[in-house]
Amino acid sequence: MTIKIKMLLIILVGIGLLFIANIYSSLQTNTAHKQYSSEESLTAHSSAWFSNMDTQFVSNLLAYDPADGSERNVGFWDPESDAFAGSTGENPLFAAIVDKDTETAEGLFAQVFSDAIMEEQITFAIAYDKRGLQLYCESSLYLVGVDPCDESAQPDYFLKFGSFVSSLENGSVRRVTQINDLSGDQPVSINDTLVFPLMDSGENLIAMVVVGRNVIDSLEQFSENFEIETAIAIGERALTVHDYYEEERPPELNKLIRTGISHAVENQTFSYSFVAEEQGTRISSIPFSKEIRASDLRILIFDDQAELLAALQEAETTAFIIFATVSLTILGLVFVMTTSSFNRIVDAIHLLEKMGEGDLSVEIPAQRGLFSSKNDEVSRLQNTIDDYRHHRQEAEVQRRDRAKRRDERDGIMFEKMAALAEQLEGQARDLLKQEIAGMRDTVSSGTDEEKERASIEVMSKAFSRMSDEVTTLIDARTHELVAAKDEINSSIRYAAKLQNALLPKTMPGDFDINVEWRPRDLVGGDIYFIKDFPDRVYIAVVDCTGHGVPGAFLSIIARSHLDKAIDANNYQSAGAYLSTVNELLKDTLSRSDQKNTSEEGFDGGVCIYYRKQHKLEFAGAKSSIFNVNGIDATETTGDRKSVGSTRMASDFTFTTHEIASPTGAFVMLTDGITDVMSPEEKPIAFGRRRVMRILRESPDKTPSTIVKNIMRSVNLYRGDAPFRDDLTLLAFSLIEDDSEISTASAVGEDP
Amino acid sequence: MIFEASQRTPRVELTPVSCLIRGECYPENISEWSEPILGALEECLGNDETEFVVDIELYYFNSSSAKFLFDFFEYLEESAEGGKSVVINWRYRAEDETMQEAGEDFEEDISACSYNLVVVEQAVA
Repeated sequence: MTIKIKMLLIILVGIGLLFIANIYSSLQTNTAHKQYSSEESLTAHSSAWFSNMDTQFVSNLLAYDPADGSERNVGFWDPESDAFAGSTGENPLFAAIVDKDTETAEGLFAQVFSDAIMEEQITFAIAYDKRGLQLYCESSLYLVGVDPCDESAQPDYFLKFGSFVSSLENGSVRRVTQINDLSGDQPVSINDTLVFPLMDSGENLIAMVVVGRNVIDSLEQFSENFEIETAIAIGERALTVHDYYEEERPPELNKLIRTGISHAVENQTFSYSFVAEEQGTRISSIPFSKEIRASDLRILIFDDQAELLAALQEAETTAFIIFATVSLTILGLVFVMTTSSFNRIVDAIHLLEKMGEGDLSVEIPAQRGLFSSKNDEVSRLQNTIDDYRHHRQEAEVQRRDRAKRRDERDGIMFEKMAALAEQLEGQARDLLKQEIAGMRDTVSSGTDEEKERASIEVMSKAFSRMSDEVTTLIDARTHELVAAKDEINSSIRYAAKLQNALLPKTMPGDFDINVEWRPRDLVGGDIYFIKDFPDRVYIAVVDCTGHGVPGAFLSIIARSHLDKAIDANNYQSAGAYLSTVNELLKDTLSRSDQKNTSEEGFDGGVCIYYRKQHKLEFAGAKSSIFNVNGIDATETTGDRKSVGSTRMASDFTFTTHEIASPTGAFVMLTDGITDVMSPEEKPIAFGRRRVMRILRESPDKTPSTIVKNIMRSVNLYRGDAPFRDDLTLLAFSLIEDDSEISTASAVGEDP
Repeated sequence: MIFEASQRTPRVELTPVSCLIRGECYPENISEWSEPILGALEECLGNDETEFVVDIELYYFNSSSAKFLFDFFEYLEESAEGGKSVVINWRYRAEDETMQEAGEDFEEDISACSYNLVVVEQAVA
């Protein structure tokens, strides 16, 4: 069973249950309503009937009561007065009764009642003496039923006359009196009656008076007022107005009476109200009067309810039709909606199934179901599936595209590999060809995934072949590069050899000199220079701008000028010597480049030692010379100018610092030493102060020890950091030997 | 304007009213590095601001960089001579005699600018 059918069944059953519940509730309501209206009807009719009866009784019968009657009438029953004559003498009626003067008594009674009977205020009046002998009887001319004064008339109280008489002991009595026709010609007449005794002055009963009123009139009036049919029920008999007028009872009425009486018999109840559905009539039964038992005498009321019942029936039918219509409409709508939704879902399922089979061409039918919108669940489902289908289609297109490209790629690869195979020989070629054929098979059969895998395999094989080729090529290139680098290195090494050759190799005999010369890159801008003449020695330590090959070039120029500036024949102060070098260098550099804006030139210091005078002179360009003598170390600072720089005037005169009797060790260095940086993030340069401290603290003041100590300290200081610049450290001391001085000759090296 | 530091060049921060140079300076090719900086400096000095404060905190510079610093100070001097109030703070650590001496050397060439040698414990924030 599909969900659709289940849902429809549930809705159907639900509606059926609702329908049953509705009918049940409607029935209950009706019953309750009928019950209520029965009671209502019973109460209304009873009170109307009793009220009518009471009113009639009070206005017509009670007026004759000896105690409660009208003033006029009361007088008639007073034994002490003569109301008939209007005198105060003895009551003639009483007298006539006592005297058994029936004629007189009859006349007096007639005086009291005749007018009222004539005017139909009362139906009859009868007087009896205490033994039951009729003294007087008069009845209306317009009687219905048996005439009470007829000989065949038998009032019911005659049947129990003793108790009737004794009931009057306490005065007047109201009772319903039935008068039967012993001849059976006339129907029983039913009367509301007042019965009162006539008492003489000794309180002895002398006569009884019965004043009655036939209730048929009241009943007729009652029927007219309420637009109902009525009947009087006595036990299981019934009397209707028709009986009195000697008319034929309508058959419907007879039927109703039968129904009413049988209801009473069946249910043993005599006060009731119910609707006889068959006749469309409400049948109610109320006691005839308050004084009488309903079982003995009661009134049946027939109220035509046909219209009301019809209206009720119609309302019920209308409600049922509306309910049925609404239910069927809802069921119909739900059915249509469910069916259309489920049909669309079925479409979607069909599409998904097709997609599962690989058919992406099935489309969702454009039709929309009743009450469906673009945003409802099914539409969203459909849209999502359709989107998915489009994605699948795109993916399919891409897959085909990929497959196509792969085929192309594979084709190229096979071609290239075949070409490669052709280049091979013998077994290798056959093997490769077999391999290619195998791969072709793999690539052209199987699933997409297998093809892809095969293709990748082919590709990797082709690549490994190709990479072999490339590796060979790279090896060749690398070889070339290495060769080129070797060439450069070898030329730099050669340059280094040359630069090294320019450094002094022999030292003046009266000098103890130790040098640390270390260009950063094989060659550099640092050089030192020693020139020994018979009377003097020139020592220079120079740091040319730049390093590496450019520095080395500049150092050669600088060296040549240091050489050229020497005036060996005349006294030359250190300052003058350095000034001359400056002049020459500026000349050279500005000639080579008019717009020389860079700082080509050098920093450095020169010393000239005059042997005869035993005097050492120093001039410095941003350089110092340090002297350590015992524990005392001093620094002699040169000018703060660079040799050859554009900022320098050509005629600048460097200061000559004279050391009269040079003792101890002297140290000259380039900033390669002082600018060695500590390996921190914010490094500090080694500086000259550290040099001074080493000089002071060095236990042995020989140049070699000094150089060794300074270099060790510098290396410790820089840690792992490489040298940033070329460095030159030169330490010297004079050998105190006079004989040496005289035999000294020009040593050193000429370029 | 900020020129980030490299292993061989300092960080340079230029604003219309200030300049900060911090780090080490020994580029392989000094003019390649210095030209854009000097250009930017010239631009900064060309505005209508009345004051310009320069903080220099170098740990090392090579001799080619000294040339750059000379040029740098020359621009500042010209600007100061033109009426701008230029302050140069040469910052160095107390233990760094090399930078102290360098600062003292430059002081000799400065006349129009207000030049201060400032000993620092910590770097300028």
